[in-house]
Amino acid sequence: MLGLTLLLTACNKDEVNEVTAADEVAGLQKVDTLTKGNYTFYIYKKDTGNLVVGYNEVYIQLKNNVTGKYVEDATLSWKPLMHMTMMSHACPYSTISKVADTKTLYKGYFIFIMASSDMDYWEVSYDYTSGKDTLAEVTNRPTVVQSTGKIRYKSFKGVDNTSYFLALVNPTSPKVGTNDIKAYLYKKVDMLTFNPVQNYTVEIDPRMPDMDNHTSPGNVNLTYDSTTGLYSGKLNLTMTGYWKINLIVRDASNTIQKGDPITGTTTASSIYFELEF
Amino acid sequence: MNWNFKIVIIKAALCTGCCFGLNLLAIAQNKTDSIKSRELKEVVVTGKTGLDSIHESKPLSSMDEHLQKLSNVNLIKRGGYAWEPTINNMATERISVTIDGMKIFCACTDRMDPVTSYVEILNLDNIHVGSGLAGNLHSTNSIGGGLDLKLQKAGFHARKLNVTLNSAYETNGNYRIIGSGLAYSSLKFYTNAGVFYRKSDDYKAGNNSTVNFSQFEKLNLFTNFGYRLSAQKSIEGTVIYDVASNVGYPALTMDVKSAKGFITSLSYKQENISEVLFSWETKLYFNNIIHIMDDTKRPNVAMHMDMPGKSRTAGYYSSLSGRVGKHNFVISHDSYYNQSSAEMTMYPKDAANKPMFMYTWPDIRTFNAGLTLDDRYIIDLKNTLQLTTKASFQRDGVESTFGYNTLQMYYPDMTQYQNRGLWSVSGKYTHYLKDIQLKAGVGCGTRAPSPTEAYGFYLYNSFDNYEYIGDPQLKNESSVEGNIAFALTKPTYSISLDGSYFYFSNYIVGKPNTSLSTMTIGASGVKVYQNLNHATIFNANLNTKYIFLKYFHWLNHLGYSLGQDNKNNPLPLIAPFSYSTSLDYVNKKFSAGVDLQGATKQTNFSAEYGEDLTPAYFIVNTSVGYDFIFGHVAPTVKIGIENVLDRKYSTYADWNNIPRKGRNVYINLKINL
Repeated sequence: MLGLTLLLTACNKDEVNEVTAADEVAGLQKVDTLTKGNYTFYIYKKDTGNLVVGYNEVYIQLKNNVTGKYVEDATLSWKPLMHMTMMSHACPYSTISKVADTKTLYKGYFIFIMASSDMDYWEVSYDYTSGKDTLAEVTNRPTVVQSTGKIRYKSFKGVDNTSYFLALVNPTSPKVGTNDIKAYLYKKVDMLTFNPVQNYTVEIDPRMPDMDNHTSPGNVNLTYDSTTGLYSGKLNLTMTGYWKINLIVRDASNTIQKGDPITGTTTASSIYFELEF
Repeated sequence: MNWNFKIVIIKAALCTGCCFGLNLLAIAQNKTDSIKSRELKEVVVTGKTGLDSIHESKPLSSMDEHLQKLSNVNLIKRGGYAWEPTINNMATERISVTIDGMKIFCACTDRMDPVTSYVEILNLDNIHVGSGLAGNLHSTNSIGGGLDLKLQKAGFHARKLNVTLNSAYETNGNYRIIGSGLAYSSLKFYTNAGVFYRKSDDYKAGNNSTVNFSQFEKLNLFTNFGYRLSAQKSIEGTVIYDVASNVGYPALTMDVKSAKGFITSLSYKQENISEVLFSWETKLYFNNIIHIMDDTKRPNVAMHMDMPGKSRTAGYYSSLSGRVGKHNFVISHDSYYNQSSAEMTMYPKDAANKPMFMYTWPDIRTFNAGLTLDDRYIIDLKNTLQLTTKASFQRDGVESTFGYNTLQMYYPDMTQYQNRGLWSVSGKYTHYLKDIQLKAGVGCGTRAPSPTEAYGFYLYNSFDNYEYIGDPQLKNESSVEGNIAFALTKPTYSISLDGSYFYFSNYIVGKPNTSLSTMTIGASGVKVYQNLNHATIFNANLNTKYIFLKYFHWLNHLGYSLGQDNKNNPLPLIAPFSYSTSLDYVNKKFSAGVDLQGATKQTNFSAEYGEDLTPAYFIVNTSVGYDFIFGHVAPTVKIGIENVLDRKYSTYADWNNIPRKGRNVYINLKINL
């Protein structure tokens, strides 16, 4: 009897653990489907099926249309490029890595630094390298990148004359109370090269312009975390509504590269994020 | 829990020790052989059937006006309705207000709805005012005193039906009152019922100046009933439904759309159980208060807000009284569970932005269970010693995760719930000497922080223009109290003098925290409740009464209070020197009176808490009354003029100095059918 129960339990467990490729993208929103040759790239995002200006966490599945199976050991790369009438440039983006504890899912991120339009368009090339299929480049052209209603990304020129790109990663759905706040900070090396900036500090001063510039206590400025490459801190929000997260970016020698402290007369910094919930 | 109780018992023993010492001293000093048994005035009778209407110059006056006449009671006034009572100059957080022993907690974070606003004075039999720690056996966290509003009970008597019709009109504010009360008694069953309606427009202060937003409307339905199961056993029940609507608060930035109270109880009573046990009453009760503020009628509102609040309490008490030898004892166990929740939704001027939401009372839960022992030891015909002790366990916290997350930003290491042990011990010695009565009492006890003091979030106080945040980690406030009273009563005159002194440790009060940011547009800053090292409050009263030419009664009252914090700065809302004198003519059915009330300049005001110097004032009131009889119908008519000189004045207790009523002519009519 006991043996039978164990057997049944074991069987059930196996069934539950059978995760399909479809399960692994459950809850994700499809952004694009790109086919070339024997392969199809499926591009996903978490909350919305649109690519937007600023930080985009992108999930990828790759299907071999001949075998009908999803590739589990792919080495993927990508390359974004903005085509403008007079010039073209890239944006900050990550490498692509396998999502832990999945078989078929890969992820990476883009920080798009401008929206696409009729004239100016983004192009993203996805590459797949494997033993036999050395190259399977798929180009999505044009890739539509929309602007966001609330500001979650800011580019600015620092006092050192460098172009910086600051993108809010978290919180995606803010709550009243203490939120983990995370952001990426990049700088432009040339039109096609954007490098992460290390060991700066991003000071935050959350304010409610509708409430006499009310602020919250106990906020923790964002500092660089070398293991994740993210800047992270603590953001306290005392109520729901519209918040302006005023920013000051200081370099490793504590010099303000951009941003203004809030005082009686200065009600907002020159750089800020916006949250509304 | 056990551990808490041990501490309580040890502390209790210490305190009673010191009380005994003092009492023995008092006994030694007062040896005479005369016998008089007369209590100092602690119970003031008001209301309909319990009321000798010929002696009440204005029987249909509001609850607030009645409360104002009680010794040691003052009222903080924010408008024409729902004034907040204080006892010994201590307000809601330090006193208890119960209805027939039922605990009820107001639902408004801005104190717009004191418990006294949910009953109708005409349904009351009397109001028990208890001063200090021994104020009320059923009360909790009340170191300043307690009010117990005793509802009318027709009782089990010979079959009788009594119906009264009441109506009143007051010129000032076009104030209309109409109501009817019914009392039916029989040996097996009794019931009381009442329907009362009051409505007033804006009242006028002196010099004919209208105080805008001082209107109100109130409907109260009440019933009490009792059923006798056997000679000794009975059940009793109460249902009250009270709705105040369109209530203006001229002293505040917003009004009240509606304040609804549903109050109910059921009790089981056994009487004359044995030689030792007199009565045993167990009562279950529940009440639900819903309070909705309204700023839509105000001009120039910086930001429209919705601010609903609710307070629900379920509780019970079981009280056993009896006598062993010379000991009259009461053993009572009580417990209650309260939910107080209030929220605020603010609508930004820029309609594109989303509304802003927060909890001002983040679904605060309080459970309290206590045990009270009271022993009135009649040593001999001249000496009585009363000892009262209470120990209770309290668990309070915030149920809302949203609210908990909010408070954690301010107190990162706070816990969602916490336990507190509370206790009090008091002793009172009474000595009777011919016409003289002497009383001396000592007590000590603690109170837990109120929901606002512990968990309140950005509660705007229009008095000092600060926003208040609670501190869940506050210590209990404790008080050591001493009181003394002397009364001399002769057939034609009486004099009484009483004084009380409270020494608080860990006194809870809001202090500015400049590191915190305001929310309300234009607020001066944010205050956080904290424990002050100590504070003191002293109260003294002198009352005299002289009866001359058979029908004339001349009464005088002088009152003085002083409240200081740990730096000897004045505490807020402490009464200045006040006086009143009245001359009444009472001859069977006819009565007439004139009285003068006033106060000196309030020099010990607390600028820190938004007070300013309140000038001296006095007002004069007059009244006449007559009891008619037309066959079986006996109408009583009372006519009077209040503030005859039409003075424009405000007292220390008027929020933001809003002026009190100017001249007012009233007529009260009561018909017994």
